[in-house]
Amino acid sequence: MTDQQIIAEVLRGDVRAERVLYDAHVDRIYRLAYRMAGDETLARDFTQDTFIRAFERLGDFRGDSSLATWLHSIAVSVILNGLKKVKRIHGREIGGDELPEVTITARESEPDLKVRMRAAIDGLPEGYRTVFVMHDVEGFTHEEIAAALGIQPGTSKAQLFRARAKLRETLRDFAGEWAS
Amino acid sequence: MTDTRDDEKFEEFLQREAREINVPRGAVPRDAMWAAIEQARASRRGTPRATGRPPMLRYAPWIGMAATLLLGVGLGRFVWNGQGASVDTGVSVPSIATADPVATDVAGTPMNAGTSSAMIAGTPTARDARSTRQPQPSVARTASVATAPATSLATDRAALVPALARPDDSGNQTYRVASDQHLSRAEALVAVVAATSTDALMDSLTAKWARDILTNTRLLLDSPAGEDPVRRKLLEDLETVLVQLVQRSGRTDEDRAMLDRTLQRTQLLTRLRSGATGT
Repeated sequence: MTDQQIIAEVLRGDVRAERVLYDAHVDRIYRLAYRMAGDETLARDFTQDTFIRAFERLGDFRGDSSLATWLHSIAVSVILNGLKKVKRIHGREIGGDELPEVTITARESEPDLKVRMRAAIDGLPEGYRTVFVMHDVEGFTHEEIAAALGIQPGTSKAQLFRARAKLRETLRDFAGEWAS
Repeated sequence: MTDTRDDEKFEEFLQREAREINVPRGAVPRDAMWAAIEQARASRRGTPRATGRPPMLRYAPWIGMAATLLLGVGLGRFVWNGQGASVDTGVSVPSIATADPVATDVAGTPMNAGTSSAMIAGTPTARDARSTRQPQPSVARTASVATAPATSLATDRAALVPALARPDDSGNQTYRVASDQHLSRAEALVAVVAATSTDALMDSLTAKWARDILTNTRLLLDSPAGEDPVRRKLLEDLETVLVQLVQRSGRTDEDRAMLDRTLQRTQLLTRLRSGATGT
């Protein structure tokens, strides 16, 4: 089924079509939410809120962009707004920006590098961080990012460039990892 | 050329290392999230979904036992200062057992927005309970108080959605009524949390309850009709507590201690009970 067919079925109240739509897009949205939030509970909340809003607004979808892009724009909005609130809450309770624990993967990386990398990414301005995570971590194209964020692809590229530059400066202690 | 090569190597290094940060653990919890989405949507529509049962209902026997235990303990301690039985709504099971947002009353009758006014006017709520407030909330009183409209989280949402869609004077009045109801539910939850100790089952139940109230709280906060700064502060403090309740399920005593500090610092329960929205 095409996106338009699925949407038409959903708008007619077909519950199975709703699940088809959800299954087609949930993984990528959940991964993005997890990457941005670093917390499973938050990732689930953001993902759920994204789809709740998407189903409520599906009748307004005009097809100017792909359904995936439209969903990602909702997801980014939900995630960024949610993280602002979480940051505000944690800032009040902990008295500063305490970093959530770092997720350890199978591949061995120097622990200090991982902590510093995490801090460096979290320290990026919101726009840079979003573009960086979407592009370099989750593999979104600049066109997809631009559509999701409501910016031009050139702006996305520029923000990615600046994000990388800031990260390079912040992580200069580890230059030996990549420098010739 | 060296600089360009270094740039490429840095980008490769950056992508490689960054992809190890915040890696989602395990498979995407599709089914669990879908169930939550269905519940939330059904609550907003005010009708139970026909498809599937929320995973929480698998634990219905345990929930029933816990609720019965709470009710039994509470009945032994309950004092209502001569005002008689707490709540007469036909709902006999404490709210924790019926906090499923796919809300029906115990008889299985879906509650609808049309009942909300009647509930405000005629049904004792947590606010009525304050007239006979005990120094420490008993579980039973809290459970009874929470029972009244506790099954009507769906009703809350059904009332909230039209209220929030009408940002005019009648909408503000409707908004106030809806948010008063919502705060009453929240008071019931907070009172239960304050009165009970850390326990895996209770944490799980209250987290589920808190998650649902959190959805409504955020709806109210995001509404342009809810721009009263004083009320907003109360909702934000409530959100703080609810997020901690949702996140602490299954976690440590340290999380409980943090939650207690939050409750104490914000005086949230007192503010919810008094209806005051000061800082």
